[in-house]
This record gives sequence, C-alpha cells and structure tokens, in this order.
Amino acid sequence: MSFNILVVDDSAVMRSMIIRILRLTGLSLGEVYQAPDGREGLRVLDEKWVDLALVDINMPVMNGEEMIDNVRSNQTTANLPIIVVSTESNLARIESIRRKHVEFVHKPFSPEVLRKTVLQLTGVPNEQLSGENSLPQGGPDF
Amino acid sequence: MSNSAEKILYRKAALIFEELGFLMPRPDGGRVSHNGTTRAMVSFKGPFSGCLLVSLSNEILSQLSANMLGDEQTPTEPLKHDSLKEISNVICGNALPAIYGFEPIFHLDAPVIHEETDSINLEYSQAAHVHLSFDRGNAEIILFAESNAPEAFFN
Repeated sequence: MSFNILVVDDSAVMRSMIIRILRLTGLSLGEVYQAPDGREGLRVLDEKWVDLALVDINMPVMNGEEMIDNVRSNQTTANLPIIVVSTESNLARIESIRRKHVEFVHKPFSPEVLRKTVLQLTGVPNEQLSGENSLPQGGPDF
Repeated sequence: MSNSAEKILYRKAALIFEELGFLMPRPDGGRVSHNGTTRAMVSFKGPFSGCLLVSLSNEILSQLSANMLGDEQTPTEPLKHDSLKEISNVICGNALPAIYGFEPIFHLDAPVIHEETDSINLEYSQAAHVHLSFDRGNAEIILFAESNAPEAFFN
C-alpha cells in the first residue's frame, strides 16, 4: 500500500526536509502534496485523497490548529491521521493540540523521531518497509 | 558567556544547528573570517516583548540551506532566506521557554530578513549575545527583551 502525504508548513525548506525524511523512512509513498498554510492544506484535502498529514502550527493565513479543527469537523476527513510538527513548547498548548487526536513532534526533531511517529501512526510494521530506502538506526548519514 | 540566559541560548542554538542544519559548532569557538552576513529577526510577544536576531555568514547560510534541502534542490536566494528564517524561528521558540519557563505562552511573529539599516525597538535591551563558529563561518545570535522583563533574562 502506498501512502498519499500532505505536508503543510509555511517554510518551503522545512517542507522539503520533512519530505526527504519521509522518503528515508522506507514507507511506501504515493503522491506527496505540499501547502504553505492551513487554507491551502484544506483545499488539497478537498481535491485529493490523503492518508497522512504533517502540519505546522504557526502559519500565516490559517494556522495549523484552525486547519485541524476544520479537518476534524468534516465527515470525509475527520479520521485523517495528523502529525503536528511545531516549535510549540507550552505544555498547556501542546496538551490542547493533542486533544484534537494528533501526534506531536517537536522542532528540532531527529529523523528517527519523525520516522517512529510516522510508522506508529500509519501502523506499518518494520518488516513491511522497503529495505532499500530504510533509515538506519540512529539516523541517516547526512 | 556571562549569564545563564547566554548559556541556555548557546546550548539550544548549537543543538538546533546540529539537528536541523547538520552543522556542528567548533568546540574551540574561534571566529572564522567570512564574506558578509545575512540576518533574520523573530519578534515575540507574551508576558513581555522582545526579538531574536540571528546573523549568519553567507558561507554558512549556503551550507545550512544545502543541508536542509538535501541533494534534490539547489539553494536559491529565496530558499537560503527561508532556511535562515526557519532556523531563527526554531531557536527562538526553543530558547524562550528554556530561559523563562514552560508555563507562559509566547506568540512568535513570522521571521523576517533584517537589513543592516533596520532598527531594533529602542525599548528593548540586550539580554543575551552568543557566537557559534563553524568550519566555514560564524553565527551570531542576540536576544533582546523589554527592560522590564524578568531577571532570568538578564542574569
């Protein structure tokens, strides 16, 4: 099974970095979509089938929390697996975000942490990952 | 480093350059000569206001951007600026709670490229000033805060 992915972050470099790490997880990726803010992210979700979204919180136009609220209130996307990737450090805010049924990855993150979270959320066991692209334990040799 | 805020800022910045930019600061801390710098500023509001200014020598900025992008893209000028803004945002978002505590909520503005001629709000005082040296250049990071900010910021 291939996973269609949506990465929502106002930094083009961060989107690129997340996508590069996802490719190294060994997860079989289908289409990879990108959006610079929550509104564009919702537009992609309206038009395309997405299996997993990685969403920043602080973004212009529409922030990540508002986007996630929209996703959860839409019957079609309500159960979309979401990973929030953010610098947010306030414990109350993180707890509030987690209550929206999302996983949370704090920036800066190691490739291994993102990999583990993605695999946990997608439920793909290690043995089903592509050996050729698998991320070695301890992270890639950049 | 003269105060605990500077020690925390240095540790956070070094970790973030390593994890996001795959750049290891030189332990000797010696300055490396370089050709020009690019600066980004992140303003924040919360229990008090301030800003974080990050200056990177252009050689390091190119390397940072290339490392973050990987082999698939060549860093253009806008992408280099985007790399600097992103790393500045992550440093600010991590350093503030580490210095001041995890309870208060700080709101960070979108980072902007800060020209030499742009001024810093005169109500802000310098709270911490750190240098990181890499093989091919330097980073200079200055944290400014309102002068009525808690002592943790200045001690």
